[in-house]
Amino acid sequence: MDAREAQQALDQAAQRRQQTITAGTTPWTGAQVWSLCSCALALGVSVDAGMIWLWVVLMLTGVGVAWRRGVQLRPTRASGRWQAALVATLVPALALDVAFQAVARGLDWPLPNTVGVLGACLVIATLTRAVQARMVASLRP
Amino acid sequence: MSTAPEARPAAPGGAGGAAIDEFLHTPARLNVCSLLAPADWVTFAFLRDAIGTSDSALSKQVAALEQVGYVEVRKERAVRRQTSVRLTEAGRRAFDAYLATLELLVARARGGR
Repeated sequence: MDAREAQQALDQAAQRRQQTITAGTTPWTGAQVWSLCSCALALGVSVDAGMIWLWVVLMLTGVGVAWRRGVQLRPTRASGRWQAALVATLVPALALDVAFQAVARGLDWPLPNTVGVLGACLVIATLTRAVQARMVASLRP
Repeated sequence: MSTAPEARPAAPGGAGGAAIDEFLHTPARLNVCSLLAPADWVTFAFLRDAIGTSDSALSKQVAALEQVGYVEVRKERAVRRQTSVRLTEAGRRAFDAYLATLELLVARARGGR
């Protein structure tokens, strides 16, 4: 093997490596955030319609599969902290859900659960999305 | 770890005696190992799409790598059938050594100019 062949193999390895890193560190796209918000909205609507079982079926069959990434990068110390932060964004999401719901119920609006999850969607589209982007960035070796 | 039948080190011609892992030195296995190297687990589908190969061709390479203990294959059937692959410690060491040999070859050639 000559040096040129060796260099070609190294270049190919670097290119493939970059493919994996890119796939594993891509933040949520707008469509993914929208699908997450849709899940939350579907939950609100299902609760209001008394059909929570339908939401459970939808989530189990579709969303869990669609969200699976092809690449699972090796976790780093920083990524562990960001993952915890990502889960922690559930707290403000729930808080806003409760707050919006309280307002809707106070004003006697229809579909208070749906209105409530609109608050949760606000948190998902802003805070959760930003934290997820930082989390995947921290996975970059 | 079992050793690859084709993995006997071969002296590269005129490259100063550095030994190359001939088992890894094929474009298909190089591609698979390079894609697996930075990851923990990678799905079979991702490997196939990234390389742009067929299921059967990739299966063959993954099976060969698994046979010598360079990769581990996991089949999940919880939600849907999905196969994931990862480099074992032995595979990671072998691949790192392979890359180091390539780098050495290049460095020596540059130094000799």
